[in-house]
Amino acid sequence: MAAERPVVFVIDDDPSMRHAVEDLVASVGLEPRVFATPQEFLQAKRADAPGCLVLDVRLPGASGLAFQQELARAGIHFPVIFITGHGDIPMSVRAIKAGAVEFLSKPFRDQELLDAIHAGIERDRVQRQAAAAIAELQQRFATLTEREREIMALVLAGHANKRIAAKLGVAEGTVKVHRGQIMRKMLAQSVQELVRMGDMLGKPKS
Amino acid sequence: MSMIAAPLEHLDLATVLKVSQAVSGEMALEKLLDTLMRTAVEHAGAQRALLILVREAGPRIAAEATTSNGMVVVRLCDEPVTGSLLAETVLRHVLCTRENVILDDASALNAFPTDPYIARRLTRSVFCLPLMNQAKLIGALYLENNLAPGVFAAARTAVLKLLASQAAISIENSRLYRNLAEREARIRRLVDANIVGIFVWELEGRIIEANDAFLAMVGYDREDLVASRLRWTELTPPEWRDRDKQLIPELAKSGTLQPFEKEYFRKDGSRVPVLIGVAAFEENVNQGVAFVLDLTERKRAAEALREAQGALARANRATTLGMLGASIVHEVNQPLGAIAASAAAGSRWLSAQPPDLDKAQRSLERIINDSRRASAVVGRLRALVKRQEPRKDRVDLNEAILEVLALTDDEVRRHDILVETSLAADLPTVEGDRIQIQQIVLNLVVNAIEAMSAPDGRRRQLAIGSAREDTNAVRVEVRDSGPGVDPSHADRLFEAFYTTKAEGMGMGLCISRAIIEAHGGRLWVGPNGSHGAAFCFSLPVLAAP
Repeated sequence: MAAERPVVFVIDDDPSMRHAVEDLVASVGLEPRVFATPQEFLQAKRADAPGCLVLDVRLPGASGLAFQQELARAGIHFPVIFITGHGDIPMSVRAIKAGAVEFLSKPFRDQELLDAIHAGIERDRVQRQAAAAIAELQQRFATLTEREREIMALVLAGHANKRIAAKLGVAEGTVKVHRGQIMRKMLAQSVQELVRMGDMLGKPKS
Repeated sequence: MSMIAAPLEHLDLATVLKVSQAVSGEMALEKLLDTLMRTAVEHAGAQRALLILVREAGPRIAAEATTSNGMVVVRLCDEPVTGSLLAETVLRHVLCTRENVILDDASALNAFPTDPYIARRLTRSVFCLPLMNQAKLIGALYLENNLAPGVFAAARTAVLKLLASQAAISIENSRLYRNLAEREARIRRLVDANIVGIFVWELEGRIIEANDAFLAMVGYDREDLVASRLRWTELTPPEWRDRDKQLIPELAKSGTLQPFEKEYFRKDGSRVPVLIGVAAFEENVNQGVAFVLDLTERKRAAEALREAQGALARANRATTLGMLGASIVHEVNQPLGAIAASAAAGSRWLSAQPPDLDKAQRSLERIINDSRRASAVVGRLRALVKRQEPRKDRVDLNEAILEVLALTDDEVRRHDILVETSLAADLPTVEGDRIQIQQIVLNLVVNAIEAMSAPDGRRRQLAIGSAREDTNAVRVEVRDSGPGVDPSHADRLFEAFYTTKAEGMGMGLCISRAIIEAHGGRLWVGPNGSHGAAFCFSLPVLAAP
């Protein structure tokens, strides 16, 4: 787990708006990083820390919404907070659907923005924890043998040992031994926990 | 043929008196000719008499008298002289030599053997004498008698000669009189038609004569005129009197004054704007005639037109700004949002433990700057929308252009348009109304943005440039990469109510051109390379003081 301070990325082409938001973010003890264009942001080195993105939807070169999609494609999953001078309802609906945390119209109350930033950071923290947990599970899963993965899939599908043995044409005892190995390698205390892990892994294929 | 110089005592006094009476009593030419012809035939014993008058186009027969059964019949006519009507060679001789010709027995003596008329008609006695007035030939009297030779005796010819010269004077006078009457009638018609006001003035101020049109214009009636209550000097408001005085030398010199505008007081004290032209009488420069047109309606119409144009210009401006609505909201919200955020930040720096005064100070400085920015945006908008009389400022065109671009900045971004500016660094200032010029730039920029709003796959480019056109003028260009202007419609673009836009009023370019022309400049459109339109205007450079 990363232990760095949360970072607030601000992308706004208007210098006064950019600096004002930077100042506001700093005043509550968060670390702001500001960019005039999405390109600058994409090219910048980013520390592996929880954070969120404060984005003006009318950016030169690319609209904020298009940029949001571009981020997703690039595998950057920071929660996005939109700030706009003239947002309309359809635009905000699209933004929220695409995963925006908040959609703020200028002039906005500072607390609204800060709440949204905090919510965004929190969401990122949860996302990162989930992502870390998944990564951990994937590592464990990677240690399973081919046969063990096959049996795990059948266990997750809810089949009893006897049925699994029949399906695979092996002895029931053999299945039991494999199951023990699976539980140990995956660090699962119960079948229920293993099922949850399977869900998080997204139904690993046998 | 013999020349006759009859002594006066041979004159038939009764005849002379008769003709003199006729001449003095009858100013009408027709009546006079009738009397003359009748007398000539009766007195001279002619069978037939012709009166020939010399016109510009040649001699014409003006009257013919014939005797029939002891009655004299006079016929007035206007016919060309031909060899079938009289002995033409005789007439030509008289007109040429201005001497009398008497043929006692023309056909027998064969004095004019080649004359076909004499030969054919067997004319016996012929008498032809010129009509002279002050050494000027005005015609001839031609008498003939085919029955007897030697009819025209010397004594009778003397009377006829006197008669003829009397008649010549009378004919000439009568013609002059008629010409004069015709001219007088024409002038009367001009005056009485009352299409223009006409009055006859004296330099010292009196109005001697005036037509109804003029009286109606100034609200006086004919009684006032007759009672000499009308003086042009008093009709003239004080502020025009000096100029009137300055015009007098010119009037004295050239005899006329080209039409100029002034005002007159009406009888009720109100004023009437007029256009007046003046001519002095040739014989007396202290008198003359003035032609006056009432400009009230024209002035009112011009004023109404100006007001309508002003209203349309404002409506058009409002429409243009309306199209920029979202942008303008953005322009105002941008600094306001920044102010709110900076204020919140500043307040937090102050309430931190310990307070961070440096950072709070910086927040406040940003607030000050952003407030200025916001009020500048509002100021620009207010200036653009507000009703204002045209001013004459020194205008830095580059500055004016940059301000407009600041207003349209967001609109340009929203349409994903690349803006290029190339403003000449040493552009001289122009004189004019800064706001009006900015409205034109705004109008051209908005037009360019709209022209590029339809997607066509090309890069959207808006180029704004300023440059010196020549030593006397500067040029501003707004180029777009839209579909361009059809050259056959290029001129119609500037007509009122011509528009290619669904919600356009068709006034923008019309008003823009009017404003530019009022500034002494030009506004035109041309192609921008292979794609798009280039709208350009030029303005005269402010002359160095």
